[in-house]
Amino acid sequence: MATLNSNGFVLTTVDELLSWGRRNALWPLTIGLACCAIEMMHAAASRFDLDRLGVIFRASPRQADLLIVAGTVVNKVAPMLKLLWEQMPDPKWCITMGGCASAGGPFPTYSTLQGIDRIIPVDVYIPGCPPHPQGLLYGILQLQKKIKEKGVNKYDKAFEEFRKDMERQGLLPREVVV
Amino acid sequence: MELWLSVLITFVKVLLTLGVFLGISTYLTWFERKLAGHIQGRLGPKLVGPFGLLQPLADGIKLLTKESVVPQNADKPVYYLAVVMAVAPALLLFSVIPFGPSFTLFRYEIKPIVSDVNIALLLVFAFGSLVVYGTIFSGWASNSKYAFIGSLRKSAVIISYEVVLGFSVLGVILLAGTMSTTGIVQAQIERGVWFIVYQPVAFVLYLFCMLAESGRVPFDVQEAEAELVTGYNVEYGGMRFGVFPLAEWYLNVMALSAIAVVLFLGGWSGPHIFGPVSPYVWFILKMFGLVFFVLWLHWTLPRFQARDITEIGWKVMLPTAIANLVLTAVLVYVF
Amino acid sequence: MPWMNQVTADRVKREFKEVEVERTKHTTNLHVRQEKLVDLMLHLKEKEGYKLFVDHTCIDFPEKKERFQGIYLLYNPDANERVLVKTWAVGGELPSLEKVWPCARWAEREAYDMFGVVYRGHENLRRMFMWEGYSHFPLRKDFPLEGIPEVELPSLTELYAGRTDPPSHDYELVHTRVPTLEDLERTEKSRLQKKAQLVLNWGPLHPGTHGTIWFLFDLDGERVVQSDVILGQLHRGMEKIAENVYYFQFLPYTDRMDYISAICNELSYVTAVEKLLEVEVPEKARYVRTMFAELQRINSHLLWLGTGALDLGALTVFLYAFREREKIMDIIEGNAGFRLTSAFLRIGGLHYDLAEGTLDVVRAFLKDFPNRLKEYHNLLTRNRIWLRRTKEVGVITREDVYDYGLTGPVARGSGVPYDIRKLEPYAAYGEVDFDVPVGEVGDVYDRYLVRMEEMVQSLRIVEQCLSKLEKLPKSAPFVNKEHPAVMAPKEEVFMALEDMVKNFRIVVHGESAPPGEVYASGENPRGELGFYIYSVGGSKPYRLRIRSGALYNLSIFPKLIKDGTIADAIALLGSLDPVVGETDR
Repeated sequence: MATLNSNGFVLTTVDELLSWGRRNALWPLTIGLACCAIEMMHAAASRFDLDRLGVIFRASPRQADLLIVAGTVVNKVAPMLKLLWEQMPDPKWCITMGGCASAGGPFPTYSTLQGIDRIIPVDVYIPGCPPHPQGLLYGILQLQKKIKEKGVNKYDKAFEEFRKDMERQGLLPREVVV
Repeated sequence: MELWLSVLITFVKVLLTLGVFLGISTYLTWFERKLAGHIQGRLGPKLVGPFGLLQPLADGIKLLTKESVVPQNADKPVYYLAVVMAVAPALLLFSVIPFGPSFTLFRYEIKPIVSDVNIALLLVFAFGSLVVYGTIFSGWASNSKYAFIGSLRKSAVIISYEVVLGFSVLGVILLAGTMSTTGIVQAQIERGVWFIVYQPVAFVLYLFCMLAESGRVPFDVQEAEAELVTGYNVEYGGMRFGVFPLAEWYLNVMALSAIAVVLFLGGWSGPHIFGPVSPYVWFILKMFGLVFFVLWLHWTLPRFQARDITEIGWKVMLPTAIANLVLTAVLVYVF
Repeated sequence: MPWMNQVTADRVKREFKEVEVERTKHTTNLHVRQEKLVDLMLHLKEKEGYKLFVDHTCIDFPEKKERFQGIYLLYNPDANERVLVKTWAVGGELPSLEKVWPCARWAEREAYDMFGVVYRGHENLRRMFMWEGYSHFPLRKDFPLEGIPEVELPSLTELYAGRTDPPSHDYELVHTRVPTLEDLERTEKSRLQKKAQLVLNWGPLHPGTHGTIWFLFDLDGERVVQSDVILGQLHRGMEKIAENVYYFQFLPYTDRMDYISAICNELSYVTAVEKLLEVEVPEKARYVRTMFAELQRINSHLLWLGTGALDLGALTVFLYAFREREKIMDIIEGNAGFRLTSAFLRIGGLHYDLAEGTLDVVRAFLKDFPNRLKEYHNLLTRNRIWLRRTKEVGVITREDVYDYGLTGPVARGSGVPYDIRKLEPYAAYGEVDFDVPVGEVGDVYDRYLVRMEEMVQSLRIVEQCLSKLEKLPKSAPFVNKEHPAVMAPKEEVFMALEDMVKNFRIVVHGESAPPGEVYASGENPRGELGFYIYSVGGSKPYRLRIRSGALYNLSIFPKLIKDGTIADAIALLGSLDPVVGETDR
C-alpha cells in the first residue's frame, strides 16, 4: 500500500481506500435467469448470508455494481441482459455463475448463448451446474481480491477503453422507448 | 442576548443536530441490517471492520465514487432537485424537536432545540407534507414508468395520511393548550402524566401515519420491490440514490419518532438516574424504542396494496381520529 | 390411468364414421381427418366428458406427404380416462381449437413456432419461444440441434486479455444469430394490441417475475386493462436435445427444467421411459423415489412460500423458508451428491444406495418440520394484511380449470381433485396413504392453503416411506440391474466384467427401445408434468414432448389479471407459481 511511486504516497492511500470501499460494498443486481438463481438466493439466505461481506441485492441496475449472471442465457434474453449491463454505472463487475453462463454448459443448442463473455466482459467465472453457494462466495472473494490487486484507477481506465471500443464498433445499444 | 451570540448558538445547534442525526442515520443502516439479520437467523454485516461497523463507511465511499448516470430523457433540473427535496424536509423536522430542558451555560440560557417557535407542530405538518415532493419529483423526472407509478402511490398515501396525522395530533394540542413542542413536553411534566395515557387511540393512529409517511412496511408501496423494481428511485444511482433511503427510511423515521416522543411519551421526562445527561438519554432511548419498533415491523409484515392503504386511511382511521378528537374536546370542556 | 374404453370408442365411431380407433400397447388413439377435428373435439368435450385439455403438439415425419401430424391429448375427469387424437396437417395447416379450449392457443403457438404449422382461426399466431424474424423452425427434423451458426461472436474476455496461443479457452467463434433490441421490440409489438395509454413492461429481467417471463400490462391508473405474456427467455431446446441423446442421457436435463423440483421431474421421466422399456423397479427404489419426491415437493413449496411472501413484502418468511430448504437440500446432497439438480434417479432404480444415516436425518427432519410449518402459519395465515392481499384475488372457477388445462395445486385450489398420484399411482404412491387437499373458492388464498396442506400430506407420505424403508433389509436391491436396458451400479462395474461390458454397451449405443408411444405423467409441485415419447425403435426417442404444468397454469394469467391491479398481479403470479425452466423448456 505504502509504495512511493510516481503517484506519491497520499494518492496510493486514497486509491487503496476507494478500492476498499468498492470491494466491501458490492451490490449485485437482483437477476435470476435459471437454476443458478436458486443457489444465488440460497447464498443470500440464512446459512451462507452474503450480507456478511456487505453484499446486498439491489433490484435497479442503476444502484448495482455487480452483475451475477446466474443461469442459462438464451439468445432471446441476451440483448436485454446487455442493456442492463449498460445501464449499470461504472465501476461495475460481472461474475458468471455456472456452466451455462460461462460457456453454454450442457446446452449446445440453437437457442442458447454459448457463454456470456461474448456480449459482456467477465471478471470471474464460477464453474458448476449449479455451483454450490460456497462457490459463489468464493467467486465474490476472488473478485474482491481482483479489485484489490488491480486498484481503482487501472480498473476505471479499462472500462473507459471498453466503452470507447464499443462505441467505435457501434455496439452500444440504444435505450428502447416503448 | 446579543445577536451575534444567538446566531452563533443557533449555528452550533444546527451543526450539532445535523452531525449527530446524519451520523446516527448512517449507522442505522448498519443497525437495520444487523437487526434484520438476527431476526432472520443470519448474522448481517460482519466482516467489514469489527462487527461490520465499517460497513456504512464502505457503502458511502462506494456510492460517492460511482459514475453519475442521468437517464437520457430525464428532466434534469427536477431530477437533481428531487434529491434535495427528499432530504431537506426530513432534516428540517429536527429543527422543532426539544431534546431536553433548557440549561444555563456562561450565564446564557440555552434551549436544546434549534428553533423554539410557538407553532412548531404546524411546521411539522408542513415539512411532513413537503416530503412528498421529493418522491413526486423523482418519479416524474426519471422518465421511468416504475418510478412514476411508485411516486403516484406514495403521494396518494401521503395525502390520505396527512389528514389523519393532523387529526390525531389535535387531541394532544387540545390537552396541552399549545402548539409549541417545548410547551407540550412541559405540560406533560407539570401534570406528571404522559399524554399517551389520555390519548392512546391517537398514539396508535400516529404510529400508522408515521409508517405511511416514512414508507415503511406495511406501507412501503412506493418501492414494492417485486412490483416496481425499486419504485420511485429506480433511475437514481450512486450517492443520489443513497440519499433517498437515508432521508426516508432513517431521518424521517427518527424525526417522526422524536415528535411522537414529544407528543405522547413525555419528551425528555424520566427519572434522573443518569446524572446531568439523563433528559437526553431518556429522549434518545424513547426515540430509539419507537425506531426499533418500526424496523421490527419492517422485517415481519407483508405489505398492503396502495388501494387498501388509502381505503383504510379514509374509511377507518380518519373517522376514528375525528371521533377521538371530538371526545377529547368534550372531555376537556367538561373537566 | 386407463385409456378410452371400448364402449366410448364405439360410440364415437358411430357418431363419426371416418374416425379410426387404434389401440396401441400404452395408448388409445383416434385418427381423424382435420376437417372433422373441431367437430370431434367438441363432441368429445361436451358429450363424452373429455373436458380437460392436457396437451397438444406435432410430430415431424419428413418422408410422409403431409409431413406434420398433430396430436391432442385429452382427459376425462369423470371416467378417469385419457385419449390421444391424431390428425395430419394437410398443406401444413391445422384448424385452431382456441374456441373449444382457450389454452390450446399457447400450445398451437408453440407448435407454430417449433414446426411452422399454421393454425387457421388463431387469434394471434406468433412466435412463442423464438423472436419475430427468426427464420427457422427448430423442431423440424432437418434442423440441426446446434442451430445454424451465422455471426462471429468473439469472447470479450479473450479480446481484452489478448488472444493467446494456445487459446485461453476453446470455443467456436461463429455463433447462432442473437436478436437485436429492434428484433425484441418487434416481438413485443407483435403481441400487443394496445388498449390503454400506459404500457408497463414487467421483465424479461425483473425481480418479481420468478425468472425471465416478460409481462406487458396495459394500465389505466393501476388497473390492468389487458396483459400479455412473452415467453421464451429461457427456451433452451429441451425437446430438441431429447431427440438427440440417449434415453438415460436426457435424465439430467429433466433436472434443469423445473429446477426447483428436480427429483419430481426425474421421477416423471423415468416413469415414462420405464413404461416404454418395460422395466420393473425394485421395491426399495420405489419407496426411496417416493420419499425423495415428496421431500422435493416440500422443498419446492417452501420456495414458493418464501418467494410468494417476499413478493408481497414479507421479507422474513423468505429466509425462514430457506432455512428449512437447506435441511432438505442437505439430505438430497448427502444422497445424490448435488443440492439442486440432483440426477439421483436412474432408469430402473436409483444411482446410489441410500447413504448411511439418511433415514435418521429424515426422521429428525420429520420431527422438526411441523413446528416450522406452525411458524409460517403464525406469520401469514391469519395475518390481516396477508388475507387482504390474497382473498378474492384471481378467482379460478372449475370451468376455467378444464378450459385452461390447469393442474396441480392451482386446479386443486379451485376444488378439482386432480392429482396424478391418486389417479394413476406411480412409484409407491399406490401403497401409501394420503389425502388430496382441495380449495373452495379458487382464489390466491385457497391455493396458499392447499399448498400449505400439501406439505403436511407430503410429510405423511415421507413418514410412511420411512417406516417401510426401515423395515427393508439394508442389502435390498435398489436398481433392477437384470434388465438389459438398466445400467449396473457404479461399484459393481468396477468388480464384475459383465456389468462393465453392459454399461459400456449402454453408454456407447444407448438403450434400445421398442417402437411405440407412451404418455406418462407425474404430479409435480407445479402441476402435471407429462412425457409423451414417440419411439420408432432405436436408442433415441423420435419425438419427446414435455407437457409442462407450469406453462398451462400460466396461460390463465392474462384472463385472471384483467381488471386487477399491479399489486394483484404479483400475488396472482406467486400463486400460479410458474418456473420458467419448465414453461419455456
